[in-house]
Amino acid sequence: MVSVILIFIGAFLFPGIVSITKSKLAGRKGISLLQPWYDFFKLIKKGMIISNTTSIIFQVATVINSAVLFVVMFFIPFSYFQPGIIHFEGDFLLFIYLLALGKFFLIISALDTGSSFEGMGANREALYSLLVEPAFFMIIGTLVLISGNLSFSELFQQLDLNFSSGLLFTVLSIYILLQFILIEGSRLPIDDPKTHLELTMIHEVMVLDNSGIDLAFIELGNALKFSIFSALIANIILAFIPVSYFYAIVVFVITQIILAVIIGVLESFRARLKLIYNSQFILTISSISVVLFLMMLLLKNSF
Amino acid sequence: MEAIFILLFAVSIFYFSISVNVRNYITLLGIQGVLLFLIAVLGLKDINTMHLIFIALETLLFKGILIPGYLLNIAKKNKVTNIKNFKTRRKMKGFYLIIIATLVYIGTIFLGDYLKNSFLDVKIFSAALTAVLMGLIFIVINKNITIHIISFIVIENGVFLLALAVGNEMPMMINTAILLDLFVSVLVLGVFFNKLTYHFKDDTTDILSNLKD
Repeated sequence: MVSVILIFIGAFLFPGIVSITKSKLAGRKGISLLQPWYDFFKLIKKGMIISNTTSIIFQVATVINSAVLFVVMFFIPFSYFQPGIIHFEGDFLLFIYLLALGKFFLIISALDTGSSFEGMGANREALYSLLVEPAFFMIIGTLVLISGNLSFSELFQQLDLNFSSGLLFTVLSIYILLQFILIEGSRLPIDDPKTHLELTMIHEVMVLDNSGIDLAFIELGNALKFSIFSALIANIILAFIPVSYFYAIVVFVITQIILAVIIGVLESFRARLKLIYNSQFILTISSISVVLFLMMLLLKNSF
Repeated sequence: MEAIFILLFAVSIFYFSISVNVRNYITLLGIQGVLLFLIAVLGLKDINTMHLIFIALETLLFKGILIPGYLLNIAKKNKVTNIKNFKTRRKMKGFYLIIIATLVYIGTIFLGDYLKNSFLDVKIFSAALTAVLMGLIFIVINKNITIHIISFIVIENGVFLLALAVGNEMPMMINTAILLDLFVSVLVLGVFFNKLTYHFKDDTTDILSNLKD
């Protein structure tokens, strides 16, 4: 339960911290930390406009995506102290495919609108998700290899990264998961959440037809997704540097804040990649994760 | 600890595959030089002070600083820091190159495992062979002469690493040969490139296709 609360705190802070970091680095005053949440409640109060061309898929897609993200949160354990609320052998496979289910519904809801722009965005989102998925599988595969368990909770309970190459795994897995967050969260250098040109949009163009409460929950979903993957990073850090229960909570929250600041800094100084280079960039992340997995196989003499 | 640097060396080859800028290639080359030094120092068990100084000079000084610096200077002088008309100059997209590099790396690991030799360090062997094979592929698919020489140095780095993979010591003969190769290739490129650009405005090998009897 602690992990769920911490994930909510992370999701609560994430949009505000990213925005404040970007504003400060650009020399602007910036918004308040709570502004994204004022916007959230404002959107909830607003009515929804649903296009006549859409079917039931468009109406249920956001609900399914949000439900999936809320369920996925329960899989995340609080380091080695508390298992996730839902845990069983092989639960990480359900975790990954539930996320894929949510994305699938968002993609087909974009196609359901009949808009060529949204179809184009859905196409790109599907491609990038396809290319980045092996990276996540490889990271989880490496964790399974090190700990010898098939459940998220047991995996982090028995994950000991205090061996000679533990630092190698920790640093590279954090790098890969950070890139994964940027790609899955549709942020720079793959996608620019602030862009207003439909032709270059990826995620934003998919949700152009969503309004009101649907849009509010899509925004909340993005923040939750960031927080869920940040929680995984925090769990890996805690496996590398074991601390007491209280300090583990502090590490969990600080990791989420630092990652949000890093994303803000990256978005301030990094240019967006040309669309033709996106695929190869994502594939490079997946390739690095394959190399990491193979290297760990060799180091563990499991080949 | 050694594994971290071997892995970073392998990762640098992936970044070679997606780089489209000569400056990035040269930076990666410098990083590879430093990584080679760290791998050699941590990996070699039977090493004396003289040998260590030689390796430090070869990797850290020449491969890590002097050669990248010299190449960057040549590239700047001849205004080839950006690959103009990248599509026409490289025959393969970075996307496919990444797939090839990953498959080559996986293949070399299987090869190392198949050889099952107690003297062979599969971690180093796979990274080294990937560097050699990918260096060859970079030469074949690029038309830019600067990239050719950089790819050649990547192959040399692979050979250096390969020598480390098969024993606890590195023969001085291999070291000297690699250093000589580097001098000849880089100096020849430097001298000829500067002279050639007086006559040819382009640095691609396209002009060679116009040669006739």
